[in-house]
Amino acid sequence: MTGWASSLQCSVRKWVQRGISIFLIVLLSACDGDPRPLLESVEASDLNLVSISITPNRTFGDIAYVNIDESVQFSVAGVDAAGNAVSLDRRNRFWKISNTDAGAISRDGRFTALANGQVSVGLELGGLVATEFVLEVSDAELDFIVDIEGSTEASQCSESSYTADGFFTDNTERPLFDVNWSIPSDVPDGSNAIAKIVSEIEGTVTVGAMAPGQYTLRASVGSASTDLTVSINADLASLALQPSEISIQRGQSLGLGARALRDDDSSNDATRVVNWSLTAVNDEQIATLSNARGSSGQLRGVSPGVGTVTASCGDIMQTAELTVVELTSISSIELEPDDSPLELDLSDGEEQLRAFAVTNNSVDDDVNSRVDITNQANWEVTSGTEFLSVDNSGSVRGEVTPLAEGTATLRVSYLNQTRTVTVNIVP
Amino acid sequence: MAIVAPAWILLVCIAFAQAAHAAPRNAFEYSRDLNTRPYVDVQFALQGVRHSELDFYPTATQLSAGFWIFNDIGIDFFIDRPVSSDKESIFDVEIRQASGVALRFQSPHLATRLHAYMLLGYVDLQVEQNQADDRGTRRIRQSFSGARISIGFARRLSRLDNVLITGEYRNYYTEDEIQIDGIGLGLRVNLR
Repeated sequence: MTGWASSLQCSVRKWVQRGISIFLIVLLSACDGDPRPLLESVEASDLNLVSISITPNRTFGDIAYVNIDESVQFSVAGVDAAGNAVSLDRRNRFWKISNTDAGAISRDGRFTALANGQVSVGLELGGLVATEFVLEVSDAELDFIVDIEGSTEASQCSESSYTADGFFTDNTERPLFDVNWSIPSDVPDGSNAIAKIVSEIEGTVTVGAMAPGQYTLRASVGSASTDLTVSINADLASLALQPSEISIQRGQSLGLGARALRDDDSSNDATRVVNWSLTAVNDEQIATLSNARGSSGQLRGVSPGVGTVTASCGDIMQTAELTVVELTSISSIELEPDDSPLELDLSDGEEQLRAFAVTNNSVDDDVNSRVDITNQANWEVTSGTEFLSVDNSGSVRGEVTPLAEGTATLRVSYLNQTRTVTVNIVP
Repeated sequence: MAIVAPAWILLVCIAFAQAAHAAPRNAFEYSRDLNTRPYVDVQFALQGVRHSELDFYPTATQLSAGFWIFNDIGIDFFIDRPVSSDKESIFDVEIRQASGVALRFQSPHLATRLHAYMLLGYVDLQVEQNQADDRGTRRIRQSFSGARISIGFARRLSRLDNVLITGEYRNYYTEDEIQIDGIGLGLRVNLR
């Protein structure tokens, strides 16, 4: 072979090799496909869905007006063949809109208005089609706040929700979603507040009424604002705490609950409304207790000691003894229910058992030496697994499920102690 | 029906290749000779489609044709046709078609008459899922495309130098929620 021919062959070979490299890179990076219709068909079948519906996260008026750049989050729910509501994940779905000039919608169902016009939002899931929700994109400025909607009377230690409506420059009245809510106080530090905001979600504010009297709820958007005066009735009889005696380990967290009891024998959850406080013997910090929005009543053990937890609504308060322990060994384990043998009805389904460690090293042996270890103990069915199962992980630790008529043995162990109980499953 | 056409093509190719071929006698000559020919490959494949914790195993035939552009590097053009679908629960799944192009990288001989190969290329395929229950019937056809990766072996027959038995694992599409792959067994015929 002559030199030039050999050189040409070598050159051609190099270019072909480069071409192959580019070919491979392009081919291997070109990946396309959407398996969601296949998956959603199975999902709809597994859940036995017969219909789905979509809802926005806001309460609109007769016409759902939105401004340009405003967003509306949609969620999806289903109904099964038995008529039960089924919660569905809104994420990664086939959300559709009728007018892509006026808006866009993400795979997670978040609609964003882009231009004036009418848009229908829809969803298809596993062959089921939701009724479309119509939005009217009309870009306008807020002229003034019309009013605050909600009750002007509230019970002491209860929650009430409020929304505000605005009048816009296009002569439309719309609910307001981006509102700055406040409760103006007579003194700057708010120490005389008789009400507090416990949550704000998409324009809806929830206020906790703490003490009898009157407070002002203010809604502000830019320079526009309006007030609503709310009266709090003195109809609270007492408070109840859950649990009434509290024992936790160092580092353990526990959500406390408060319930408002009224003269007419009614009651309501007041966990977010009450003011939580904590005092410890010797003023040591044995625990932290939150009053913050979203974590009200969350207790966390810091160091061994004893103290008192107080929940108050105005002048009415309730206390619970608190013991924080550091368990290294325990003297025994107690179960609730504590029957032996334990009898479970097959037709009753799951039952939550609770385990308590009786401590031999609490700070004060006379005070509350029983610590809830349900979520720390090891739960096991040692015999008769065909008759009984027990959850040993997650949020339902200690939940037993009767499977068939028979006798099983349940073992609960924690640190140095083990408790065995016979369980009879009866028809 | 889908398996009949590729089978006929393969038989014709074997006959054609046998008539035309004068087999080289040593391994080196054989290898050189082999790598200058176009080839046709027919495989029967057990495919796997996995999603939603369901496993479907439809079957298909694959017909591919290719030619060598270098020693041990070739270009394949392939097409799959379904033979049967597979049912799981109320769902019936098949891969309606798969086709594409791939580069074939062939190893030196691993043992007498045996070598391994790898295919890297592009595949376009369509999965059909039918369901029938109390609410009626529903058909979904979804297209997927992306990299096709196969690894396999080929063993030359002792009596027919230009005919090889092939077996391979192929991956057509993989992501978190779905995997489409398969195993195939077939014959490859080198043409001249």
